[in-house]
Amino acid sequence: MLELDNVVRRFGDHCVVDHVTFRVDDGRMTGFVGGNGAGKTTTMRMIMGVLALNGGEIRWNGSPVTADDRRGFGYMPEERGLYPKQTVLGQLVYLGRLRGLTARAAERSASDLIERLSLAEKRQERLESLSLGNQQRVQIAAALIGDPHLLVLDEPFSGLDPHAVDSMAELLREHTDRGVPVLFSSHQLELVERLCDDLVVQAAGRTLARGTADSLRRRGRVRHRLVTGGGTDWLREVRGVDVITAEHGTALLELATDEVADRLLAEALRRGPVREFAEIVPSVADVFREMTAA
Amino acid sequence: MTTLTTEKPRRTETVPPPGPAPRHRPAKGAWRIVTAREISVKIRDRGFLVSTLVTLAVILGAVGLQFYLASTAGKITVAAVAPTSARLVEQAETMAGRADQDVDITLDHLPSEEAVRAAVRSGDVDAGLLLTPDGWTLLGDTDTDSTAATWLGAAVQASATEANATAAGTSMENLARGATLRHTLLSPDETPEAVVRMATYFFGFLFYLAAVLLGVSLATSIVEEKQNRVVEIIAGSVRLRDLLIGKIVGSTTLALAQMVAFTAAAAIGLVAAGHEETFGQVTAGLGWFLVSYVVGIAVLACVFAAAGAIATRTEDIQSTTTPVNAIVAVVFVAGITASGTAQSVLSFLPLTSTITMPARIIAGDTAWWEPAVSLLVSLAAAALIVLGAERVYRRALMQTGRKLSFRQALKLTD
Repeated sequence: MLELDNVVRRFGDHCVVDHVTFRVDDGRMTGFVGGNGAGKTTTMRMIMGVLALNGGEIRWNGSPVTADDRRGFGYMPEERGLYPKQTVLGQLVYLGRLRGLTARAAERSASDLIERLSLAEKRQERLESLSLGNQQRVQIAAALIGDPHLLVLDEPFSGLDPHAVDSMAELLREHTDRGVPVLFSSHQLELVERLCDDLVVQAAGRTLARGTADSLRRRGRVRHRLVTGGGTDWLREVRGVDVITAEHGTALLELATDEVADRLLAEALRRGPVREFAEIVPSVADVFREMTAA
Repeated sequence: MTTLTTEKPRRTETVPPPGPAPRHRPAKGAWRIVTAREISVKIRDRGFLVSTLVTLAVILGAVGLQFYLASTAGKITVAAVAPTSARLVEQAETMAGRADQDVDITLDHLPSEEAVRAAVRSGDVDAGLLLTPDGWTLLGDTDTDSTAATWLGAAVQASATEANATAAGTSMENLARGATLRHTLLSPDETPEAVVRMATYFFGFLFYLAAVLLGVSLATSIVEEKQNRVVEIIAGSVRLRDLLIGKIVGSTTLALAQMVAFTAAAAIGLVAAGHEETFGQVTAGLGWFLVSYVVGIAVLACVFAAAGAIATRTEDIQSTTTPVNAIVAVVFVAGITASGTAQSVLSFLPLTSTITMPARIIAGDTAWWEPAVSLLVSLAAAALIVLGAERVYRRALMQTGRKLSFRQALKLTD
């Protein structure tokens, strides 16, 4: 489990990361969302030890994170890049060895990943001769080499086609299934919503919200839709119900409390057939827009 | 009813935490892994191979030229009319042979004085030899051939002196009595000054060459990692000091290998061109040169590494390495020109000691402890510069937007 506790980073007078606190639980896919300049990349760089902290603490499994811990963190930086003139296999083995793997273990891990990412034919080719899509796969392999015990991925899905997104998501899911915590940032909120177990929303260096994707969506205005066989005029008389729209037996409602929902459904059933009664939970994108607009 | 969707169960309870994987121990001596990569990538690099081979070719070419010059030196053709010229030429060759000079004069008998003049003018012969009523005359076209002037001159003088001695009723032996100057060297065991100077130039040149070959390529390799952001991945795995040391050791090892190849080629050249003696005198300093070279280049590599760390893009290398190149030029000039006290002082300073200390050792004017102290000073400087370079490197790591000055880089925080 990775914890950030009031982490601060300043560049000159500008506070880029302002007392950020969140955690990435074991086996959970945590999405890190926020607009440009929200401080996501800076936060990730501090997790990886590339940048020093100006305040706060980062903990791994309860203790302050050490260089040894970080050697086991898989990292995909926002600014991609590997050795263009080295072979695919050569540089993966090198990065694996720097992580502390033996030559043989690094070779095995690199070969597995190359196989897994459909790069087997390119293993002895120089990186610069590969297509951009394949280079991106090698970058993913560089983050995954040596079975990391935490993954920190900065915009891992940018530049990937839908098929590649799916196989990447599957690969990440395998890691979370093994209990590895995964933190990734993304601008693609639909994707984040689809993949993530937990979310951290950051804006202007501050954490706006954190929690499960579901709890976050519920922080937005949850509405209900009621479709009845009869009229809907009676709805306006029910206490705690705010009718947004109502026509042809379909009404969009905002309810004061959960208790109102039970009462409303019972009343609707008493008056006639109920075809549908459902919560309309806003999407993460909606909630994000609402939060960051404020 | 509260919700129609159920929250996904948190996996934390079902999957045990992975815990620290035992495999992610610190890579012991991570710099060795960096060094190994640096070398294996570099020796496959076409630019490196080509520059090394070209330099070797230049050295072998110079050796070949030496050979050619040595084999043609002292071989001249002289045109003459008088039949007595043959005796004179023979005497000139004998006298040259006595003086350990390899002189081979081919005599070209021509029918007339005019023919001799024509031959000299056309360049078919190196000189013309004419007997006039006033004595012998040596003809040259635009200048006088020095071999002919020296040895034919000596032969003419000897034969004239002999003839005059006979005419005066005495002999050559009598005339020459007491006329020999004996040579005695006060320090016959010390290396001749000319050899010391030559060796100093040689060491200075090798140092400069290494700086040229190694410096920019090391700075470029460091900036390449910054430019490609590979360094961001690596920074999480290894200490930056290990990365820098690995690169410096790799570059220094390669530079050393190049130097061994170059000096071997030059040594073969010296032996082949018949300068075994010189070679024997120089090898005394060669061992020390290699030791102080390794250390000197390591110091230089550290400075170049710092220059690379400050640059943001490969294009910046030109300007960030300019001060370092200036230092190298100053070291080179100071190293080969200094003498006396200045040389002694420079032989203890880092970088300049790379050139001046071996030169002093060859000259034979060092006490046993001097090279050792000089090396220790250099090693200490290397260690300090590595620490400084690491600081600059770490702090300039995230400055991808602009080029920094050394001063700005030191002011940055991590």
